[in-house]
Amino acid sequence: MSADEGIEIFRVESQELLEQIEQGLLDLAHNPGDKELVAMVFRALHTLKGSGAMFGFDALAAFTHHCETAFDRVRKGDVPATKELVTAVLNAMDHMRALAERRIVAAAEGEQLLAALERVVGSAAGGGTAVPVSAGNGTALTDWHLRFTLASDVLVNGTRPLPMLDELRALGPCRITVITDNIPPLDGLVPTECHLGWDVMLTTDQPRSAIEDVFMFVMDDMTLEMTSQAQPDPAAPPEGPSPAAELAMASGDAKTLRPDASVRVPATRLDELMDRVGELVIAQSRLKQIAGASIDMNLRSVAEEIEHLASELRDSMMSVRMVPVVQLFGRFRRLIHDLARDTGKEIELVTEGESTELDKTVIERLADPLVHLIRNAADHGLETAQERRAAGKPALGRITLSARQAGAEVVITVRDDGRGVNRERVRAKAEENGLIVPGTVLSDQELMQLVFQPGFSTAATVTNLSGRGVGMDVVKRTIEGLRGTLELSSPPGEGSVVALRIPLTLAIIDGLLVRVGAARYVIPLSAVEECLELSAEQDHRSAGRSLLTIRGQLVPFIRLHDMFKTAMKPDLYQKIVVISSGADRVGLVVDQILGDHQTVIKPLSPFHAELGTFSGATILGDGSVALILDVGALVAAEAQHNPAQLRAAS
Amino acid sequence: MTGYPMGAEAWPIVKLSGVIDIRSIDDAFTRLKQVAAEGASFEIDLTGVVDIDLNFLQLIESARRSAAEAGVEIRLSQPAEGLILETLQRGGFINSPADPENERTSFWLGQPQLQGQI
Repeated sequence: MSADEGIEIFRVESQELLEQIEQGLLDLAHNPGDKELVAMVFRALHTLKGSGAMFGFDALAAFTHHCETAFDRVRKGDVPATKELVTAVLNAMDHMRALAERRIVAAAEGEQLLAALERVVGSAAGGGTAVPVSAGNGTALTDWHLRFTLASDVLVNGTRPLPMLDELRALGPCRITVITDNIPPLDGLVPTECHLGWDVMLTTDQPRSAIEDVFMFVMDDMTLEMTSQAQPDPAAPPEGPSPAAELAMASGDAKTLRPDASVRVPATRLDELMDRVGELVIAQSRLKQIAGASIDMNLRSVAEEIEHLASELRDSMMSVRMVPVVQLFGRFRRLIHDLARDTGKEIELVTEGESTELDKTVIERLADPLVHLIRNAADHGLETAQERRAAGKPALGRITLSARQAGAEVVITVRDDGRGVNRERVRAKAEENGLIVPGTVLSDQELMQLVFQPGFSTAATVTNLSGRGVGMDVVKRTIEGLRGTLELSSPPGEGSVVALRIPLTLAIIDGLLVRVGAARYVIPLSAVEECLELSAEQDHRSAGRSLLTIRGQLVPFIRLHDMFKTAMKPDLYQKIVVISSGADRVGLVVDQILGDHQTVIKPLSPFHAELGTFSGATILGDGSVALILDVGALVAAEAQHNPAQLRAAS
Repeated sequence: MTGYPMGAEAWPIVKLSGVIDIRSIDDAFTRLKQVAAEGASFEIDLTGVVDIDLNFLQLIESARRSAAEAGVEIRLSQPAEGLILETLQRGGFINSPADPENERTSFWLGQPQLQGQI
């Protein structure tokens, strides 16, 4: 591991620590007497400070030290965990985040934050009624004997063991003795490698986890032996492992300490691995085609086995990339806290379905659109407490963020219980901006879609939260870039709901392979509802209308032959693939349905990127290329070209 | 024999200076290795050293081990002080300055002690 990699690991892990601190603070704001929360925040601040110093982030360590000190006073019962204190530390966290990312920040800004923190702590200590909060360990002291060595590349990768030793000393009376037995003589020495070990006798009232936290960033590559002996104090039995666990620790290396051990892998490696799996799926597809044309039963058998294995590997790989949306939703608690402060409204965030999983790439790309939707809900949707009371609603406005899986998609909704969308204002604004001609007849759904037009905003005043008319169209574009769809609804008196339907993954999808003329196309299987035959008679009857009656419902259809201007004559017996696009059902007329196809999505070249009706391409078993239809864009393009027909069915 | 020269005979002196850390350790290593290769006792002058890290302390321990194996001695021109002493203490190389029995302590702080025995 190089120094850059070591620092990168610290940056990633420090973000997790900051996240942990932030969540703890937000919980504490609602439950200021929770001792465990106070202890957790203190420990995380302490670890951030210590590990920051260990990796050379001295400014971060120095700054965090002040917040840690403030929380130490809370822990000891000198100062109550007031809302003001929580807010002061939350404000300081943005500075810590900047320091952890080594962004350029003004020193004065840090000083102001610390001065504010000091003021809050001072007034809380003077006037508040401090609830004695201890770390929850009692006062029982335990003698620990630690013996550890670090990885030989620990110094090269930017880790500094001295602050780590200081951290141990901070836990309690400590005697640290270096072990130099493994240092080779000069002839065999590589001076940048670390051959040192340490023997530590520590007496502390802190739990085992506090000691393990000191080694958090080096745990994976070190050896650590820990034994403990409680000092006689019958009132408070020390926290400690079972004798069996103790033995395991004494004999094993650090990795045996963590039953839930996991390996941190850079996201880029996962992406590379996914690419390889994609190539394998393509190769397997070729093999399947060759085996299908062969009479060699052995070849067919092996091809089938490889198909099975490739499918399993694909599923395993996809599951590795899946992360729960709680990682995404967790970020918005702070946003709501800040929005409530900035708007002066009372807002609560309710989250549902946090264990729903999505591809990590999708999660990353969803963050910005969701921030915008939540801001919109807080700024435009929710009323002030006074307005809500006047309307007979509870003063506390609610924004609900929920996720659920629906087939190969995840539906994420942002719902608020505010005033809802003012349809008259939307229409007036659209007419004013020239988006529609005055008097145009629009369905409710079409009216709602106007909100996503570029430059659209109904906000009477421009605020720093939203209302600049940029954003909702960007949100729509981002969601469509994820091959997702977005719908806004606002039943009168029930606030508004924005529903995002997002595919589970962007890497490989199940597709339906079809032929139109001589070319083949893939339709995402998640959009396919059913397949029908279009007889010559039906085709003749529907000419000029392109509407079909399916079980009593009129369904418009799009002739891909016409749309793609295929030179060949259509087959005699064409097929209709009925797809769902948002709330619409639309048929796509094709010549032949070739069957299902594991589709490895390849991006289109920049030259073809503007072709809205295609979301990518894939390589088929025979090496040829099939374009992947973007059904939403396809239907939208047809609606623009032939609006009356698609509307006739709705 | 002493841990630093107290009117002792003149030994070759390796004079080190500046900050000796992971980035500059190779230079100090090369110089110590060259002197040690001559197979004679030598002295290290750290008066120009501004700061050090653990690599340096490890290097000196390695040099002492080599000297012990070659049957020669190493000593410091002056006892460690300032940031060097602080690093020795933080790193657990010295636990108590008043520990004349500890051979490493006497090397760094100049207590009368035989050198080259680890």
